[in-house]
Amino acid sequence: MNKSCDMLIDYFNRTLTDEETFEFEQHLIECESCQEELMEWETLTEDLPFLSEEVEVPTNLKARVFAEIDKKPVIMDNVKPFPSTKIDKQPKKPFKFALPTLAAALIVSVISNIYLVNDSNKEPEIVASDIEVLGKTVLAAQPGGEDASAVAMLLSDKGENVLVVDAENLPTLKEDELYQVWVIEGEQPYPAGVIELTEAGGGKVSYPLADLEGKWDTIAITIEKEPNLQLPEGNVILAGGI
Amino acid sequence: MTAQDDVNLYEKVAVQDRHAFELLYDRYEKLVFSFAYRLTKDRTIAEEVTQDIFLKLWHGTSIYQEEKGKFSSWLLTITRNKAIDEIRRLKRHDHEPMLEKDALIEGADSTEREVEWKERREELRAAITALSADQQEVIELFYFQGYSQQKISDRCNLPLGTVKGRIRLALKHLNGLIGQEGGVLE
Repeated sequence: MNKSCDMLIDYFNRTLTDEETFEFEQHLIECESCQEELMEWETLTEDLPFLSEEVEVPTNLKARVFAEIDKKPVIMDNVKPFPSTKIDKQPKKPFKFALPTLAAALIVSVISNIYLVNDSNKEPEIVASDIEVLGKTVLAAQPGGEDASAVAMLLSDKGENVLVVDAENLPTLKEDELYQVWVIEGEQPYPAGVIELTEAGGGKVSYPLADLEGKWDTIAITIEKEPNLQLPEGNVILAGGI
Repeated sequence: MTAQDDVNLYEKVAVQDRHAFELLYDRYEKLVFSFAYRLTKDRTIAEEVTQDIFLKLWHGTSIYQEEKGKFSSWLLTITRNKAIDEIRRLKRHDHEPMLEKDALIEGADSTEREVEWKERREELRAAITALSADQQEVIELFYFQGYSQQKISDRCNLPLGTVKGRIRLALKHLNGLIGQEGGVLE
């Protein structure tokens, strides 16, 4: 039992900060006692939802959910017109999208560190021999994106892949807003991480591709009020093909 | 309709089988919505939570693992997580949930599943009322309000180090009472 074990109830109730949650999840990987205890709490509370009184469901809720799953996202209207000259298309190589989460997290960490070495350079040299650049593109500013610019790279380490996006001169965010990265397959966007701001108007994100199976070929950045929504709600500020 | 049936449907939903999704949706819409309402006391937020949960299910953003328990338990866990996140987010914006008194209306056309739920609820309620007022309060604050250990400690005037033990004791007592009555909870 150490100090982290005391955080279990607050983890269960999601009252920890993002940082504390991350710390606790790292602890949880190694602490069998907490793993067992978490399962115990889940079992002990398993029946409690059935205490809820039946409530009449709004008649149109189902229709709205199904309209949402059938909806064609409008994002491509904004994304399509960027100048093709700004998109540095690379020959595509087949990806393997099956790396375990922990390995992915490790790789992301390694690559982020390597990438930081060349922070000021938009054409970073990848110093580790096992890391291969599979693709790279410059994202073009969209209307409202002003002077923003970003480079997106697909990196592979022994067949394990991550998407790294590094942006600068981003427009100023209002309170509670964030920069969301998306990958887009046809007309279907998938959230691909939130940019961590490292300086005024700049930031980066590394995202493991393990869960992004698909033939997406476009990357976009939008301003959102919540992270990792199903579909973008805010404006596209940068986009590009890869 | 067994738990295995839920798993089969879930697996079909994972490959975007719209019919399987609709079956799961119909099966759990009312439970998810009612539970979200129980947690948030607000129909609008409960709607948002329900919509979010089913869209995550469809898009595969939330992933169920059979070895970790029943599908229904997982679905209700992610419902609770989303609901308590929403309450907390809205509290930061001074949003006051509006309890709508006319919201608690039982539908006349109860399905077999809803009848089972009602039986289960009655049994749980009987067990809950057999607990002491303190134990009932600690379960309410911990599970339904999602309070932190510190807030429970302050509210119930308990030393921080004893909060977890009190919650566990209350829940074990509750589960023991359910077991004693030879309930239908499987």
